[in-house]
Amino acid sequence: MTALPCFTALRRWQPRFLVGRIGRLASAIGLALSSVSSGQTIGSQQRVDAGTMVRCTETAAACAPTNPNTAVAAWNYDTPGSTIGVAVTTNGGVNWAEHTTLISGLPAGAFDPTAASDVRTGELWVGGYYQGSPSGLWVARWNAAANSFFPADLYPGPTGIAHPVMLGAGPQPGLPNTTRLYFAYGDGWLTYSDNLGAAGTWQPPIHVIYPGQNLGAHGPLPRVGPNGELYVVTWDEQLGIWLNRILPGSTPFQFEPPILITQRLDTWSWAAFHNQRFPGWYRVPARAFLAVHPTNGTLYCVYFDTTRRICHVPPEGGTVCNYDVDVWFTKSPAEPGQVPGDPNTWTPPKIINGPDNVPYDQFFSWIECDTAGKLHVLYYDNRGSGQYDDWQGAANISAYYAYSADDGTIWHEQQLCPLWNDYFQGFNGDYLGMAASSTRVYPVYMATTGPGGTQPPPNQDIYTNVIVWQP
Amino acid sequence: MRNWIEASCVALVLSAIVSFTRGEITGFSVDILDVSDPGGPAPAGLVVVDFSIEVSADDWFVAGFVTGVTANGAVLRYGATPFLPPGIANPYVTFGSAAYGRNDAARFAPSGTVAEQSIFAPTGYDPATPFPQFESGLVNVAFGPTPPGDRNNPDTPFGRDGSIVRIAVDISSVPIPGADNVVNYHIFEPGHEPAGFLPVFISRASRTSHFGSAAQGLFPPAILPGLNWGVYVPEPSAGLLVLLAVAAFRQHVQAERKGPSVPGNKPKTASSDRTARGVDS
Repeated sequence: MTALPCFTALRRWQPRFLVGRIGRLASAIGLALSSVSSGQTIGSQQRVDAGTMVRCTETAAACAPTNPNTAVAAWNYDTPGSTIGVAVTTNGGVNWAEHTTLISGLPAGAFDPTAASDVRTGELWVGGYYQGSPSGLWVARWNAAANSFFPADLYPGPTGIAHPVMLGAGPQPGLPNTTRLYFAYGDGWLTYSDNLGAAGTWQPPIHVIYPGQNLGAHGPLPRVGPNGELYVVTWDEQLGIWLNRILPGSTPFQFEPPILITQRLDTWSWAAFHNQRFPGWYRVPARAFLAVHPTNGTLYCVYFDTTRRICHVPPEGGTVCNYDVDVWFTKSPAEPGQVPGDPNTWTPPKIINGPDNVPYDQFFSWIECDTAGKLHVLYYDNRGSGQYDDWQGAANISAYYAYSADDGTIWHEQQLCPLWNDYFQGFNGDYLGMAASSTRVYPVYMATTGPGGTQPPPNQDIYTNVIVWQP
Repeated sequence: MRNWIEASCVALVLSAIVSFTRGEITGFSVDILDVSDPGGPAPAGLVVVDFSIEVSADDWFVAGFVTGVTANGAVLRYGATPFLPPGIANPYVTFGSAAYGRNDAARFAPSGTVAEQSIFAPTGYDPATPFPQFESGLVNVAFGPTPPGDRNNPDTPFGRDGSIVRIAVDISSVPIPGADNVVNYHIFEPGHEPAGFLPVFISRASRTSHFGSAAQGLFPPAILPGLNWGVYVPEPSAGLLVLLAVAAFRQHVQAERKGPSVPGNKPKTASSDRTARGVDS
């Protein structure tokens, strides 16, 4: 079936962007390869979790650049009263040991996994939100010497609106030989610890949004630049994707007016599920994700958005449209400290997934930048499923990995697992996670089928494909 | 395989979102079940409230959302399988349904076909937990009809209005004189209740951009349309002041009674979307 679909732009682009966007779109599609090239080996699909009879959803991961063979992965065990799952590999992904029940003090009712690493020291953390009386945030630090986690530290207080939660780590502002752990949560709140996340060391929260700005700040994700620049990307629940930042020397420690990274072409409620833009029936919050080059400070942002809608008039009348959702990418100038408050300083967004026989969808994207500057992106994809946007319930999706070794100009991609069916379970998490170093990358995702899977459908397991890069 | 290619692009729609035919949820109401309503009144000791929607003719109810907490000693009552349709014999519990008439048998005991959908409830709504929460003092759920319906299936309930959520509040332990009498209960937008009213149940989203009770059709917008609402009982000490307030509020609602409207990005209040019966009977 090769007939060319008629399609329409979802939204008129500004003329000044039109040529650039189309050109870059064509460039991206033309240059994207169907499989990765030399320089790395992508391992086979490999089970991470050890759960049985419990659905796993929503992943997070981090690895230590100083020891890429050690990585943590975390996910939800998706049943009431259960908790976050945590697994660790210390041999480069050959084996994963589940530590869920071994983390002392891990609160019941925990979900929303997140993970972070400190590029300088190799410290690793997992954390999340816990619901109880009170609710709050928790974090546990990996104790490499003991091959276990230190007891979980709690930051009680944030309730209800506190999640989603995301960790980020890096130097304190202007102090490159220090470590600060950030926790962003809820509608744009942020706290931090200069003592590795120990209980009682979390600072009073500050709002990510600059005073007087009437913006939503959904899904705040903190990232730290090489000189301690703090960046938090947020989605305003409308069309805006924003960069909020505090640069070294800022006194008081307060966010500047936000910088518009880009305007989405389409938007939808974070809570909506059975969203016709996507295959299946689950919610897909339109969050954006950020990575920072660990040495030159360039910022990279990925998000998924509706590129176009393809419509026809069925015999019964009306208009039926399929939405084509793709993964979009933009980056900042190389010197983030020099970024003015001008959206034109970000490159025009471009699609980085490969040709997908429109209107297949790519979503739940995540980006990492390793210490060598390579960019790694993980996303879900329903390419080849025969299922576009739907009102059928179950989704057929797989995980894809894409990388760029030239600062985001050329992208290569690889399917990581066969299409799997989510059996109409209504929740596939709100994001995916990935850990990346210069020599090993760990994309972590869910699937209902795969080697080593012990759970009968519809229970999802957690998988990875260890990607080994030549030094 | 779906047929967007095979359809040969009969219509080329030229530009923007607004040019497409899009269905939507067009109206909401919240109403306390009483003797004048089908299926009413609720048994003594219970306040039963129905949240209902209206749907445009080219769309159908695709998902519902409700978050709410009890207060002042009230507790939520559930059926044996919390929030799922409870069966015809057990209608006075907290549950969700596809859009049906308030006392339709299918609302309580659907056959599970596309024409007579049941529901499933996979997650929370606000908080956005990965699982629903059905506790004595909290209901938090995102749910939808199953089978979900299909534009190509003539049995899909296009344009079918109806009730999608029932909240059953056990008021037997509310320590307020007069609180045992259901006629004393009223519905207001939280924060806009008259002086002297105390809540027993509040459905209000933690994010100001969203609503405590909401619904979506096929194409969810940035802000799901819905309502914030609560069930209130007056303190006896409020006395005449309360009566005057209720009278004034009823006049206000009557004045704004313009029928269902399409909520936009601006949050709407319970009073501006409510039918007169939604205030109280």
